Amino acid sequence: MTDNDSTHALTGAYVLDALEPGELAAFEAHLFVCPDCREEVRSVRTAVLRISAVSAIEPPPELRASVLDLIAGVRPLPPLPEQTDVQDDRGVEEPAAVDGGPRPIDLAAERDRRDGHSRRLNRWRAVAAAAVVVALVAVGWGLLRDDDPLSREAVAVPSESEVALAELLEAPDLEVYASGEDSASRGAVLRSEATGTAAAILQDLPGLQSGQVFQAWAIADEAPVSAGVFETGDGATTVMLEGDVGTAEVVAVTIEPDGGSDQPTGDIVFQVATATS
Amino acid sequence: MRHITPAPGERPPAGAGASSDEASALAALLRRSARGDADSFARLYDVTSARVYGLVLRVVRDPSQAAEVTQDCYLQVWQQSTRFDAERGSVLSWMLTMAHRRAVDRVRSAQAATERESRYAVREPREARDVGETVVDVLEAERVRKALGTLTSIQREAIELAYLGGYTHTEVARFLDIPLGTAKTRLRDGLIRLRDSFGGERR
Repeated sequence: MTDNDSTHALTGAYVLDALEPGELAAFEAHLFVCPDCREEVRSVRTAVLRISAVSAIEPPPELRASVLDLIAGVRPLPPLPEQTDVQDDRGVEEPAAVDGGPRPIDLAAERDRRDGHSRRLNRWRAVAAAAVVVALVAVGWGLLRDDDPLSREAVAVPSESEVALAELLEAPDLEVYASGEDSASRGAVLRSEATGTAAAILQDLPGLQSGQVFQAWAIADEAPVSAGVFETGDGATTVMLEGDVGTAEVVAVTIEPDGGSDQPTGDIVFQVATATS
Repeated sequence: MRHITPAPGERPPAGAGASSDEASALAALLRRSARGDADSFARLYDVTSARVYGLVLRVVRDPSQAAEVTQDCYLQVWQQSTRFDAERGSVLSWMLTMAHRRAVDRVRSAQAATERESRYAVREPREARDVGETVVDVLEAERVRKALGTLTSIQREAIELAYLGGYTHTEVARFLDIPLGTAKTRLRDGLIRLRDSFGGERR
């Protein structure tokens, strides 16, 4: 609980479904990268659900018949194929209901499969996109400009990156890769083939000396290609990644001299495997 | 993990905080439902509907809307029964989480804030007297009240407003006339204390 205490403090409100809509998506993005908060959410949820014992009351008898009638005309969904990554499929319509954090991967896949639930899902995703953008404005958004690959600078709150992020979050094939134990800093990479874009949500990045920047790398076949440079004041940021991240097997972030490097030279501060299974 | 030990001859309450037997019985009903077994689903309904409907009713207040939300919720349970993952918690937890979110969505999307504030009365929880069931449920409600009683009054009120009232933490802060940061903290501290007073049943 060293950074951003106000975000950590939202675990209670989150479990109680008491976050403002604008905060929900941002907090879920935070859950991706914060195992402490995930664990806390998990540990208090059981207690919260027990509160419902005090409000238990028999429903009107006719509700039973009505429910059974209704389900008689509806086919249960087939089981999903086995999941192979950190995500799971519980609560397809209920991204916030899942203790391990939201899982847009399955949500997106599900949306294609099931028209019946797409409306609500879309709504959530639209809200999520808007909310994340709002949240990012608050933490300082870095845009990676591509006019000059080696002198791309972070620019505050550019509208094109908001749009790009919103589109990414809306993508039907959104993939999310959360970092694991092997990464010094926590974070997640979001990627979509449909939009051809990718973003990184990063936390706990170390401080930079003057004359240094962070540089993101998309690594395929062990060959790193720059995915842009950026800076952040408080160690937490979200950036759109440049270049061809779609085929990357690993996304990493290193510390490099101002302006970035052709090949990584500094310490790796963040890495996550993004190979598609 | 430590469980509250039921008195001899009693079954532990179904659900969150339930024994693994109860939980796996519900999971078995859900599994059979997933294969289209409506009888199993009916039994699942019978065992869980008081908790689900009661929670929804407490949040939305209006019985006909509560019935509607409850029905939607069971439809979702039926459709998504194959997607339930026992690794992540009990069936009842899954259902209640879903139900609460739906209830909260309902009141917020239809929120006429002034009207709701005037109708607000959650500080005196209605007794669950119509629950015709079992000693077990009454005992569980009693345990929960007792645990809630270990909280400070601000913690308890904040949690009840948020969970049973369906209010956001911003609204909770306004109700209790405390700074927003304090409301967040009370919600979190309160839940941690509640969790601990339930006997450290962590997962």
